[in-house]
Amino acid sequence: MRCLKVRSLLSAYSSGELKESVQLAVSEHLTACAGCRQSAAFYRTLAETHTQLPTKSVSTDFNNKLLNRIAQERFAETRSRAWLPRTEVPSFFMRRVAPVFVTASLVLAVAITYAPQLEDSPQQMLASDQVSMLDDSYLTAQPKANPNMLALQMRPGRTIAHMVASTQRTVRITNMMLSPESFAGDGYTVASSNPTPASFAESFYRLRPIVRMYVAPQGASRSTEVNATY
Amino acid sequence: MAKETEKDLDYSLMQAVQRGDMVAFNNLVDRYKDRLMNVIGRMLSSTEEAEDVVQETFVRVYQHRQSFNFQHCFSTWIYTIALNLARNELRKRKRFKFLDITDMQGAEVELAVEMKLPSRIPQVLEAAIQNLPEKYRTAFMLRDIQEMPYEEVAKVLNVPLGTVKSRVNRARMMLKEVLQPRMEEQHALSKGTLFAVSIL
Repeated sequence: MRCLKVRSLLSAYSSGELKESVQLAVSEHLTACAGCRQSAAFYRTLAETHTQLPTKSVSTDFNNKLLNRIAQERFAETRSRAWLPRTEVPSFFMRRVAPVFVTASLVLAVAITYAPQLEDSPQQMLASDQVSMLDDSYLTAQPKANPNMLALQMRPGRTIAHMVASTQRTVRITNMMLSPESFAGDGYTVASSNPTPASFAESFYRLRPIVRMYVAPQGASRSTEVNATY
Repeated sequence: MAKETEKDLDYSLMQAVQRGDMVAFNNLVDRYKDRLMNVIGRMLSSTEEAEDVVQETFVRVYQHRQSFNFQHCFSTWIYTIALNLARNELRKRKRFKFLDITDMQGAEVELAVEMKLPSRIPQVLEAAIQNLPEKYRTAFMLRDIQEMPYEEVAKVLNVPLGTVKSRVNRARMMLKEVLQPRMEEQHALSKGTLFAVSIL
């Protein structure tokens, strides 16, 4: 072992903190090296001097002063409790559930208030120019005999109130989409570029049906085809 | 075995303190007040400040007695509180340097004595410990003066075991550099060679 390595281990060697094998190697080096032996002696003296250091201790009235201070703390605690109203720890419901419930209610209220309104007046829509155009946002069912179209606008972001109100209408339209043949048998022709009609459940639960299905009147030269997407 | 017994005693006293037993608290204070003072007194040069810190440590122990976790070692807990309070005190001192004229006068006298005569090694060691950087000083005091196991020192200081060993080793090397000339001087004096030089 070299002197540089040994000298870095001497403080631990003097305190007996080295592993046995390393302790032995250092001892062997010390038998041959006077310089390292001298350093080891200083570390031993240092370790012995620790025991000669005066022990610092607290003053004789330390305990009394401390207990007086503790008594004041206890008095302050009881006095504040006497004057302040009792505060009970909120229950689990108030700490966790109530804030979540309040937040969810606020979000719902904002959504209901600011979501786009559903215009569900077919008569109004019939009167507008939009009805005559093949608008993507319309699902139209045009009776063969009656050129007037019963237009239902189903825009994205329907309000919950309108969704509830138009459930029956949705069911009727879905049935029409699912069975164009029977629908056709009722005097309607259903044309859709989407070969796979949506399932009842899919159409019922989707709140944003951008239904692009144009039901052409029988006898029209062509039915305008648009993509039916949901 | 003795260590385990001490630990058990701490736990039983702490349990009694949690039940409101002030006699048990007094016993705990007696067990640790001098040990803490031995460390804190060397971190802070002023005895009054060190005693205030030790007192504050016990007040904190009392205030947080109900939150003491019995899975941890009580001595580690109390030393951690004491050292944190001492460090806060040292930080305060760095911001506001207070000069006390009586302290200055005392220092001058001591310095004169030190220069004229070779001082005793323990006094030199005491002064050298005070001059160590704080992190080395704390590790050295807990390990070599308080004779705490390395593992406990690591928990108190919240550093890895290797770091503690490194800091203690470094502190010892620094102290050796300070002590070595003094030891050689005292050795020469005891042999009479230094006296012969002074006469000439």
